[in-house]
Amino acid sequence: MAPSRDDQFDRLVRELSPPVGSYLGRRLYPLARVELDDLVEETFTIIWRRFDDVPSGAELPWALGVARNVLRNAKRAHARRHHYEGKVRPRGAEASAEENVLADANVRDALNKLSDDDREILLLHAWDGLNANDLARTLLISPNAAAVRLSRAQAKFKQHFSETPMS
Amino acid sequence: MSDVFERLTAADPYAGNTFELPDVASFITRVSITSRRSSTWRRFQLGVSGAISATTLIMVGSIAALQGAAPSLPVLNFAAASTTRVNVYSSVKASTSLLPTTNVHGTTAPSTATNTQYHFMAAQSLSNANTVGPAYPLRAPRHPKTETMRIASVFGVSGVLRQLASGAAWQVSSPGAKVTFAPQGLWTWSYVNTSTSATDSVVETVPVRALALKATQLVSGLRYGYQLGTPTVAKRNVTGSGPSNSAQGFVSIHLSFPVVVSGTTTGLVSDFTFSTSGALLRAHGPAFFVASSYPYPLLSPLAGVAGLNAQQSELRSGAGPSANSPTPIEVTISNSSIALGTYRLSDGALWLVPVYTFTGKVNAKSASWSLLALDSRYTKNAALASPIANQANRY
Repeated sequence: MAPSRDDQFDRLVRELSPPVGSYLGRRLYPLARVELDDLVEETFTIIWRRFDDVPSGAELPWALGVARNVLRNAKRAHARRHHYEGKVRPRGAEASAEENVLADANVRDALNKLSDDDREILLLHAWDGLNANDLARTLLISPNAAAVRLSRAQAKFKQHFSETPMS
Repeated sequence: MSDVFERLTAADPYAGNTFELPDVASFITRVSITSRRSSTWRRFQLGVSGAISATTLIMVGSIAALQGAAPSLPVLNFAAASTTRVNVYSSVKASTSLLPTTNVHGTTAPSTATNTQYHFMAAQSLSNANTVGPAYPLRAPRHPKTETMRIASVFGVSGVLRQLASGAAWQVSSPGAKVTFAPQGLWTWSYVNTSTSATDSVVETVPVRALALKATQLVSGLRYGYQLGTPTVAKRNVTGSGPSNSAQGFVSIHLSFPVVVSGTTTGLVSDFTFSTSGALLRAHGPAFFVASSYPYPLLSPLAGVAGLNAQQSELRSGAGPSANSPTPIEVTISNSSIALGTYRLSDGALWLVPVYTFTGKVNAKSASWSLLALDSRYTKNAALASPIANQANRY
C-alpha cells in the first residue's frame, strides 16, 4: 500500500527540516534567533499546502526555494516594522550584528564585495551543498544559467579573495 | 578544490550545528492543522468574492450556505491511557472512567468496586440541546533553556542555568531559590524558596486575598495561555524542617488554583505555598501556550448519559465474559457540568478537550462520572483515553 499523504509529509519534515533550518539560520540576520522556528514552520506550512507540487527527487532545492521566499517576506516585514517603530518609540533589543560576523575575515571581505545574486548562488553551493541542477530548482532558472552564474560568482569570489590582504 | 573554496566552506556559521526541531510530532500536527484551517479560510474568501461579482441574490445565498456549512475539524485520535500519566491533581475526575467518584466527608475518593455495573438514567432536568464547545491544541515552550531563564526572571531568580541529571529538566538556582522547567510529559514550571529566613520570621499574617493576587500576578507574568480560577485555601502547620530546612515549625498557607482557559476550568492546577509573612515558599503550574481553538459539536447532556451506558457496555465486552454479572445499580443523573481535560493524541500532541462530569446518587451518596463531550464523529479511541495532569516537580 502506498504511504498516505500524512506519512509522506512526516518523512519529508524529518528529512528536510535540518537543511531548511540551517539554510534559514545562516541567513537570518537581521531577524532575531527566536524567529527561526517560526520561519521553519511557515516554510513547511507552505510545503504542506503545495504538497502535490513538490518535485520527486528534487525535494530539497524546491523546499529551499520556498524557504528563500519566506525569508525574503520576513525580512521585508522586519524592515517595514523597523522603519515605522523607529519613528514612534526607542528601539528594543535586536539581533546582535556580532552574531552574524564570519570568523574568517578574508572570506567575509571577499563575500561583501560580491553582488547579492552572486553571493546567494555561491553560498547555496558552498554552504547548502546544492549543485547546478539543484540551484536551478531553487532559483527558478535553467540548469545552464545556474552553472554559468555559479562559475562566474566563484571566479569573482576568488579574485576578491586574492585581492584582500591576508589576516 | 582550491584553498579559497575550502576556507569559504569552513566559514559556514552553521557547520557542525545542525538545526533540529524540538518536537517533530507536534510540529507536523501544528503545520497540517494550520494549513487545513487556512485552506478553509481561502475557500471561504473565494466563495465570497465570487458571490460579490454575481448578483446580490446569489451573494446572499452563498453566504447563507457558507454559514450553514460544517467547519473542517480534525478527528482526534486519542492515545491509549497506558501511555499517559496518572492524574493526581486533576479536578476533572477520570474522564472516561465509569468508576464513580463519591463525596465522602468532603473529600473525593474513587470507588474500588471494579465489577460494579450501573444503569444510568437521565433526570428530566437534563438538556437535549446540542451545543458547540472549543477544544484547544497546546503548544510547548520551544526552547527549554530560554524558557527556564524566562520563568526565573519572572520569579526574580538569577543564578546558574544547568540541565538536571534527570534529562530534559532545566534549572536556574541561586543561593535563595531555584526555578525548574521540566518539558517531559505535560510541561511544568516550579519554584522553590530555599532561604531559611522565609519561614523563620512569623511576624504578621498577610490576607489570603493579597497572596492570591501575588500568585495571579506571577502567573500573568509568565504569559502562558491560561488564567487562574478561584483558589482553595488551606493552612498547614509544618513541624520540623520544611522546605527551608528550618529547625523550628512554621505555618504555611497553601493556595490551589484551578487552571482556566478562555473561561473554562481545566483539570490542571497551579499551587502556591506562602509563609504567613507572605513569602513565597513553593509554586508550580503547567507551562503551555494555546495555539488556537476548534469549535467541536458536543453531545447533548442527554446523549452523554446514553454514552455512559454505551461506553460501559464497550468496556465490559472488552474485559471478557464475567462469571458473576451483578445486577446493575440504577443511577439517575441529575446534573451535568462541562470542563476541559488534557489528553495526549496518538501523534503525541496535547489537547484540551471538553469533558462532561455527570452527577448522580449511589446509595444516597453523591457520585460523579465523566465522559468526553465531543461528538463521536470527531474522536477515535475515546474509550481508551485518560486525562493527564501537571504534577509538581520534585526538584
